[in-house]
Amino acid sequence: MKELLSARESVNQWMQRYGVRFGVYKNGVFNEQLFPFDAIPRRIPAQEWQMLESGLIQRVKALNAFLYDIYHEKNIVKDGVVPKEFTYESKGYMPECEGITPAEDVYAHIAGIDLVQAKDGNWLILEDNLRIPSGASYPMIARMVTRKASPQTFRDNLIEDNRNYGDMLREMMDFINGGRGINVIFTPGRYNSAFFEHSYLAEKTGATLAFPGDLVVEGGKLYYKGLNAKSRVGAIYRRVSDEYLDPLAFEPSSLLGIPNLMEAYRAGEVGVINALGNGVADDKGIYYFVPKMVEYYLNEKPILHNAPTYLPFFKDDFDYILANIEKLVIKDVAEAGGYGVMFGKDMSPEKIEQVRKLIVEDPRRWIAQEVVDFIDLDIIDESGKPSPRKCDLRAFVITGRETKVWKSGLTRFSRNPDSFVVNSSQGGGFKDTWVMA
Amino acid sequence: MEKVISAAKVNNLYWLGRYVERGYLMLHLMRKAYDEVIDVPVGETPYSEFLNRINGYSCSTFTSSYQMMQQIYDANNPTSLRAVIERMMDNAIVLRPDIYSESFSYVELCRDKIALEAEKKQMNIADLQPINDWLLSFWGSVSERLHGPTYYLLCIGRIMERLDIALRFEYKKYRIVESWESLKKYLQLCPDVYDKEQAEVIEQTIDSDYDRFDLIAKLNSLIKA
Repeated sequence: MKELLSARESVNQWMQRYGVRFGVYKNGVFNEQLFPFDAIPRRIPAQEWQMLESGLIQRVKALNAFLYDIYHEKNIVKDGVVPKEFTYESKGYMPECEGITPAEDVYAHIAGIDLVQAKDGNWLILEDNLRIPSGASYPMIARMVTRKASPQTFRDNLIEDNRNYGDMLREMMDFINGGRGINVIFTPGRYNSAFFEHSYLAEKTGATLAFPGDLVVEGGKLYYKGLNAKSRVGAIYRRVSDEYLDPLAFEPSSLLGIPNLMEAYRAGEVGVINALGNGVADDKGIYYFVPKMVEYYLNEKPILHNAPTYLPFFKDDFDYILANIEKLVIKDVAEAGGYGVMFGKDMSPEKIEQVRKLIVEDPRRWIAQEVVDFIDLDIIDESGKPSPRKCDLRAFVITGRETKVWKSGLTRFSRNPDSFVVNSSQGGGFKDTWVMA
Repeated sequence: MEKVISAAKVNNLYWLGRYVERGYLMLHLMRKAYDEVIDVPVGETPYSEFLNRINGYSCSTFTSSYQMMQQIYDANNPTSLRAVIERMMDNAIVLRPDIYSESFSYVELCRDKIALEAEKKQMNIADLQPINDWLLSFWGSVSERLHGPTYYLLCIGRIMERLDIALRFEYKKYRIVESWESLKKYLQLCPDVYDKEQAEVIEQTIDSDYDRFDLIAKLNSLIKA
């Protein structure tokens, strides 16, 4: 480990030469910046990982079952386990997906599950990301670089290799593809904040990186337009949001979208990764019900638990939240990327009153959580000394023929010592995640 | 299985090849001009001559090497080396999966280097030598990793740029013929990307006592993408 830390400068130079960046729009101007990397990894012991792995697989299986159910029989709503207000009124619910069964019945092919480890050692789920979770490319390339910069570190520590993420993705894409054609990764373009990831994953999976205008639906099938010939596409790993994916089905002003993609998808002529309409299952409000889904669909007790969460939709929770805003964290279910998150302890009395009013006006829009005192991990700060920071973990769960957890993950840390917000869009950095063998 | 390449990608590969070669030759020729500045009286400007040739029109007059260096780093000047490297990056960044991160990294290194040098108060062309080295490394990397149309298209761009600059700088005819023969080999490997009738016209023009600007214009309308 000492050798790795002393190779920090070399590691950062390698990251720079590989262009490990993400883009940020500020005041309408696009800027690319290096994603700050801290060389001290998060280490997860093998036994702890086994528990996490089992819990994550269980959770994603339940979420996949929920998505199938919501767009087909709706038994979980009929049986009163999940109120209809949290499904059909969710912004992520897409009536256009009713009755569609995606290739191989898989909805959440790539799930990014955010967790934190509380000070008592328990892992808690903070969020499920089932639409287009990003971030796996960073620990992938970090591992490649740190192995170059400090080989001795990797000889001295028994660490699961994480450089197989591209292979895991390719295997899943091939399964969903079913031999219908080529695999493509569909990017909105180089000025997307995650473009590095799109291009790096295309490199590592061998999929074709497709840009807006490269894909066309003809005769109900999706094609990639080559110079003089078209190539059938069997699976599209789209990094474009649902609403912009097909201007004829959703947002008509979308210039990114592929006209009639929905038609090809509905007819089962192309596998779309992740499936459309997944937003109904990763809504911050529906998160509350995921442990119930585990019991409902799998008839098992949840292995991993949510952070203590309250829904103002329910009368008891509503009263509790209004009485305890000062000690809770309030989240807007419609926001992501660390936006719309308000810590009661940091709010002025006027702000608390304002939030109270907002909750009263539209209880469905908000959730409240107890502030989890999660563990700090050391980073090397600007002065070169170890300094504790709040960190979360995004675990990646891939579902193709079977559901597997990538033996690594994106550990994000807050740059500000007093902050709980770790999102890269808000200045956070990242660490590699070592799963010990 | 050979990957299908879109028209946009053909364009990016071709222009990446051109810009990498342009960057390399610009530095080589600038260094030559910079050296000549040492020996000429104040007021005579070999570097202006270099710029006029590379752009094909009279565009600048410099009276000091400091002005020359400022021009090299000026991101807002489309004739500067820095602008050439930025255009190189514009094409390389969308081609990462096709050229691989290792080859891409040499373009990234060039961009970082010229941005760093531009911030220095003391500008010295000798400090830009790593850019030459990395551009050559780029070619080494792609020749090791790529094959098929992806590689051929880069080479077509490279040789096209070499021909273009050789004509602007009035290289001897045998150099033009050699480059053209080399370009033809790659064109035959990518029959869909060029205008065959135009290739015939170029062949006849090179055989004749050509006007170099006319030949440049003909070469520049050879590629269809």
